[in-house]
Amino acid sequence: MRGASTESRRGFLRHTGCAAAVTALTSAMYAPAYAAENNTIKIALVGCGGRGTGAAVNALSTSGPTQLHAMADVFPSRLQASLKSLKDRFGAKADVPEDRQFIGFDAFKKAIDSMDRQSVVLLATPAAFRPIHLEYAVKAGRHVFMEKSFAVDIPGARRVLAAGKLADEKGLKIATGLMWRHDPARQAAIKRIHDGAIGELYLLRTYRMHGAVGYGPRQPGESEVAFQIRNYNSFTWLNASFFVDWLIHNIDVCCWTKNDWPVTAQGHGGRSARTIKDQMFDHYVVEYTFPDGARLFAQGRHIDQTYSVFSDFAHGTKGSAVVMTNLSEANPRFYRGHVQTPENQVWKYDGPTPDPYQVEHDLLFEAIRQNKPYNETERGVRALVTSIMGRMAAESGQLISHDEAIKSNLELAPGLENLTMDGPAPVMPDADGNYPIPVPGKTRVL
Amino acid sequence: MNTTTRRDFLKATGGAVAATALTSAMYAPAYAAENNTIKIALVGCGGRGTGAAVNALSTSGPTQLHAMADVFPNRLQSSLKSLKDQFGAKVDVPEDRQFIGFDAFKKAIDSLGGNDVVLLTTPPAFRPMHLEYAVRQGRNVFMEKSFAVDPQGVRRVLAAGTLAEQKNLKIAGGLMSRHSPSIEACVRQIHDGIIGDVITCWSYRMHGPVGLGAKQPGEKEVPYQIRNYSNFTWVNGSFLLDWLIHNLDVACWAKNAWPVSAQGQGGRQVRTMPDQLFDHYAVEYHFADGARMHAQGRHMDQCYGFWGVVVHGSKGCAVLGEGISSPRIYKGWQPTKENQIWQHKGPDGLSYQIEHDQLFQAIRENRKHNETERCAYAAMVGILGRMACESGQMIRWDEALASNVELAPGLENLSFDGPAPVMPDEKGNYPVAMPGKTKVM
Repeated sequence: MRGASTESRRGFLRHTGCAAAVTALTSAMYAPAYAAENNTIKIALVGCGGRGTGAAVNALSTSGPTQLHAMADVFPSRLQASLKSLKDRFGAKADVPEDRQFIGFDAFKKAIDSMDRQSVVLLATPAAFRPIHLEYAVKAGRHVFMEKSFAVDIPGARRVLAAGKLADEKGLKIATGLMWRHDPARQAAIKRIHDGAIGELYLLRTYRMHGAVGYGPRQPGESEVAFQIRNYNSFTWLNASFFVDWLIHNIDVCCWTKNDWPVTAQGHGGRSARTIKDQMFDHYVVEYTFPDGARLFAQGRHIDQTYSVFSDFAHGTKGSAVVMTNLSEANPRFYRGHVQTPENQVWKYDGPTPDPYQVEHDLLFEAIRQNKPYNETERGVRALVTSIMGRMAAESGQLISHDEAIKSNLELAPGLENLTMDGPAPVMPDADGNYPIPVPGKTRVL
Repeated sequence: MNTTTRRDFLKATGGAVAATALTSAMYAPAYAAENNTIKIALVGCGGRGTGAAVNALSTSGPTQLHAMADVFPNRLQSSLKSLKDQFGAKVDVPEDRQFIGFDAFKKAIDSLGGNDVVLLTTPPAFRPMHLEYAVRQGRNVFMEKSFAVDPQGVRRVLAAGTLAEQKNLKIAGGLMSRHSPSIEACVRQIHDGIIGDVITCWSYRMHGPVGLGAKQPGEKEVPYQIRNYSNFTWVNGSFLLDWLIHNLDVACWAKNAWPVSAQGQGGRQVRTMPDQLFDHYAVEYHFADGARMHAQGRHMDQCYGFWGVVVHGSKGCAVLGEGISSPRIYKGWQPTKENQIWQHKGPDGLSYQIEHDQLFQAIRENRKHNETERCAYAAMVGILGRMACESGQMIRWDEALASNVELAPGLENLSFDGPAPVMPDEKGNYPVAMPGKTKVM
């Protein structure tokens, strides 16, 4: 366990009432032979797609005994595929018999209810459902890891924020899937930037521009709702747009680097190459302004055969930084001036680079075992709201202020609690199979 | 104007009354009229062309509008009428010097003598061809922006500018912001370091859409497209070029550099009119020192609007450019009243008039005056940005400038009845650029 003090570790063991505590401390930590009964943290996975399965892998790889106890999804096939891959890897730690495999829109409740206190729910469905799931998990008294994004609209963001507050009151731990906050490389670079290494920041640039996201054509007999959920990237009510769902990490890191949050956003976007019938814009450009007038320029593109870049940059009065080089390695470094060539490089991170996806789970589980305060909800919501402001600006063509945005009552999928596979979807295609697409100057976003 | 030069000019004109002229109103028609009248030919008689003629005829010293050329007779006639109303006998364009058609520019230029001025104000597609001819014929030129629509055109304009230099011809370009006393003063402050190093420029022109005139009964494709020149890329080079060029230029001027590369995004998200216009562009330009210029253009109703240039420096920021009535400089990057540290004091001027005053003065004094290179590069900035947005590629300036892609090959042979450089499909739609597919180089 990383950085756990003996004191708090002892505290946790005392709390579990295990007599073998002292022995446990001197042998392998939390070895099943000793404290298994009482300090095993049960895990329920809600949303068994790629990211959910990955989160389960990370949760089951934390120090101390853990057990995957229940799984929930709306697609049986997805649950089975996830379960098989987790069983192959973790054997008996993935203990999800048929009666704890839950399918349907209320499956999350059954999975959460199947657990007890000190257990962890991994919320990894598309973002639309996160507020509902988080509220329920916190009300039921569960610790939570929630994958980004955390909601798709401002009312959802408010629900997440409120659930986070309730979690604090109840002493529950909440981790969010903004894993780069837990990357030592970014932490080291950003601390230096906060200490003035490249002067005062006036411009941050972030990009996520690459080929088009995949899209699965409708299966024979597939309902509209099932079709849209399966293609959640293509429908705004589900994933909040790729500007939010795919750029939230970069936007969050840039704001962290700037050590502030933008007060306004204005931008552009549209579909200039995409012909697939869905709601996706294929490009976004958003200009954020911070309270001091500095800017964050965020660009997203999903178009094949175009210039690709997936990086974060910061420019200050004394130099510039690469905060993220690409997805596989952040490799942060500083330069004198703004021409980022090797001869201008003045600093480079050369410490350890653990997998931040694992670190975020290690920290959560450590906090639970040590009963330390741990709640990333507010920061996650702030990153979400900032990202949503950008989508609002690009879809509406308006200058959107943070203060206006957070008052919005516009829900992308009102009545989501009552969604069924066979009922109507929050957006429906017209006679030609086309879905509504935002029109700047016309689309209402607040 | 120094006396010696003025004298030289009068000597050159052979006016015996030179000494008297110097003591009275300069170049008063009563004295040197015959020989120092600068004749003007207007090529392109639309709104901007007519405005340029007004400015040219309002310069000091005798001038005369001598010939006019357009492809549309009605446009020539309405321009002529409005100029006659304003200038009377200074407008001397009898029927045999009213030229109509795609070769009208040649006839208008040929009707002039040495030391005369051609105003080139057609849509920019034709500028390289017109400028080349005017320079070859030995005319001084005022050319309206934009100066070309593709790199090939930019190179032709640059070459014509070099030839003009060799022939001692004067060339002015319609980047009037360069002649605005308040913008000049602001840029001087920036160059003198008032906001520190220029690190980011933000150029904007975001407002409502440009219209599209319906095709008239019997109207051919070529005149239809020329009449709607803002809507067809081969004619005006896109609004990123033709409408943002001033603010692209002002930002580069403030930065004192031209970009080395660009990447950007754009598309048609709102526009439904059957034409070629993107309705939004966002370009990130890079300068050699790593500084950026972010240019944003939008033609949409009911959206956030801003028209101007914001320059961020290491110590402060400046707000200036086309669309900004009075340039201002601030400490920090928040342009608030309390942060303001500079504002232009003293007389400002009508930059459209000043650009002509300087050209005519340079001609009369035989002083070097050639704005071609600056104008051609400013156009190249817009063209580079359009290439980046339409293709979705990161494009280098030198690669782009070397490109041989022409938007309208064979433009010299264009006729009203022939095919247009772009033609509509059977549904009446024109080709629209698609990033990732459209080839721009």
